[in-house]
Amino acid sequence: MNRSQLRIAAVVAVVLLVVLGLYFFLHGDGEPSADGPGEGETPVDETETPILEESFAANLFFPDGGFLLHGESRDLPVVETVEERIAALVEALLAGPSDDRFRAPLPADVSLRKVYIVGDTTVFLDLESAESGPPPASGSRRELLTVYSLVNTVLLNTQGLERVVLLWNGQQPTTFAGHLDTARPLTVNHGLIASAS
Amino acid sequence: MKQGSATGSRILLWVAAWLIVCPWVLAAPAQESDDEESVPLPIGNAGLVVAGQPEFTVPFTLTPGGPRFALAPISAALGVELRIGPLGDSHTLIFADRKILVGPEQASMVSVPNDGEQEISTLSGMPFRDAQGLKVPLDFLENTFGEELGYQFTWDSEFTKLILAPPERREIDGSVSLRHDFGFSFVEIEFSERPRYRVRREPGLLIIELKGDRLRTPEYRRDLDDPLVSAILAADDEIRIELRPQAAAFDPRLRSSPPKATLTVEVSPSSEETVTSGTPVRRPAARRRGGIRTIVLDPGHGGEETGAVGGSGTKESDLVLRVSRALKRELERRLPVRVVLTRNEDIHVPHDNRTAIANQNKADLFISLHFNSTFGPWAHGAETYFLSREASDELAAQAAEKENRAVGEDSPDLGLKLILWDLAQSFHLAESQRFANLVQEELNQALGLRDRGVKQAPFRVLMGAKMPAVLVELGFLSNPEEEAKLQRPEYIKQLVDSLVRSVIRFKTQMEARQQAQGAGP
Repeated sequence: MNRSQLRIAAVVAVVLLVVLGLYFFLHGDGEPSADGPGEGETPVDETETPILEESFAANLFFPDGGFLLHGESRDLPVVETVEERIAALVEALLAGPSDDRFRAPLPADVSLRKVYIVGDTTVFLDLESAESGPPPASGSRRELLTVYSLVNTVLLNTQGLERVVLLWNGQQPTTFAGHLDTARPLTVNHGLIASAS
Repeated sequence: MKQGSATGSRILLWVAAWLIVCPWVLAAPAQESDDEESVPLPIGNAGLVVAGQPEFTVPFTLTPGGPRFALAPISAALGVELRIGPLGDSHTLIFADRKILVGPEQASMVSVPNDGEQEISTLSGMPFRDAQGLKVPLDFLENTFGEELGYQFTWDSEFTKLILAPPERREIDGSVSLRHDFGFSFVEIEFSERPRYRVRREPGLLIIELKGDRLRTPEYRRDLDDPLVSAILAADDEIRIELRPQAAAFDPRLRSSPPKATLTVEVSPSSEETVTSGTPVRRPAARRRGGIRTIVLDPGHGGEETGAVGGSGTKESDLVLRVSRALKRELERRLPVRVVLTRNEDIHVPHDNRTAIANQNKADLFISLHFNSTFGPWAHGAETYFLSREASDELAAQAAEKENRAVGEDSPDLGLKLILWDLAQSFHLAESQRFANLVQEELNQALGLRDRGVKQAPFRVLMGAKMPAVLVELGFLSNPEEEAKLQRPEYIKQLVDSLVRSVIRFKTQMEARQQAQGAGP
């Protein structure tokens, strides 16, 4: 290789370094942009939100046979985003408790269709039933336990989220089973959680 | 060699050039693919197509519950005045005979006729507000511009067009029937399609006036042998219900079972103060005189919504109707009160209509009756609830207060206050709690239960009630022993007697308080 070729090779090497730098700059490394949505953009922020923790110890709230919810500790697989974390929580909740004194909040044919985070603090949980009917009929106590097992499990195991909107087959019902107002977002209900004693 | 060296240099220069271009080539599709993954709920501009008019642009957002359309450009395109509250939350559409109010984060709209009580309807999802203004679901557009002006809306998601068909004059069938039950008369008009109508009142008359539709039925007059309704007259664009002098008609209720719809007019014996003139029917002016004169009992669920079902097949919706009828009889026998049921048969009545019935009747007390269920078979006994507010409601209440302050008390647009109609119960929480305590005490005593205290929950049926309101769970159908007891008439009688005693105690206490405050009769 003569001197001229060496010079060109050096230029190529420098260009290569610049190119690699530019590639990572333009392509990004998976982190979302620091810029928030601009004016006129959708409030439904579907950008997957990264979570910082690496471990994922959860407390799932299952109904007992009567009046209250009971926390059950679980180790759930590490996930990358808040949406995935919420999905993992809800799926574990729907799968049912390991303690046979407690119950799964919904029948086995109910599954989670999608999780959305709207704005910064509101989670939409879209549930669906294989039979595509309305949410299961029940008395108010069972309805309270079902709804707040979901709401409490999601909100007490995630940071920064404050409200849950429940959808059923993509639609927001006025009430879940004829009593509880689900036409608006729901917040944590501490009163239904059994005391540790 | 020299030629080889030049060729080598050229190749190296090409490589360098490609490497410079590469990042953009590689990055561009990667960016696109990111976009595809992260924006499944797009925002966009829909073309609003109104026949005979240039196409308008309407910003929309696809949300989990369907598209939401910006309200302001649609009302502007259709020439309907839209008033927006100073804080930007409450939105009021001004139509010829009514105002319609809607706001963010409440899946409800309030319709305020110029000459009547407000009506509340539920929407398929929550409107929300963003930089483009308030965005509403399609059924809000159908219930407002569709109902009032006759437009038909079609959403073409493929081409993102919102197409408005101008009003068509339809010919529809309407068959009228009448029945008399428990001292009330019910006129039912079954329409072949959901009618567009408004209600007019003249002395001794209630008129269902079709707007843009015609009745296919030939004109007729039917004289009736009914204690409250003297005749029904059908013409091509209206149905007239002639009332006897001692009768008063409630505002009609429309039940849709597409494509059909049934309009029910409930006619009741009037009190001395009931006016059957052109003004809306007035109920006994109980609050004016103080005390408890009118009680609305709400048998929960009904129709396809059965509520809880016991292991032996007992349906909550049937059992509460039985208890409510017995309670009505007993209350009217033992107290000088008028008792109205929100349903007197196995039909579905939307939650908001139930409180609307109580509000229209100027009720002094609202009792929603239910039977409970839970996951296990051992839970038993009664539970009494009054309304609790969610934290989000507190924020809404604060926003409403600010908005009302900004508008000023003297503003003609006091209808703004109605936007948070479901905060109505907030003004009666203390009385509701007092009554709930009495109900629970009486039930505990009658059923020998330990006191679990009264409870609070954000139950939909209590939200719009403008009077003390409770929801009573009279027993657990999920408990086989309790389900068996509930089949026994003497057990039902015990429950009814407990409820009557709690009403008597509440009435006495309330009247004593009112007398002490100088507001009594």
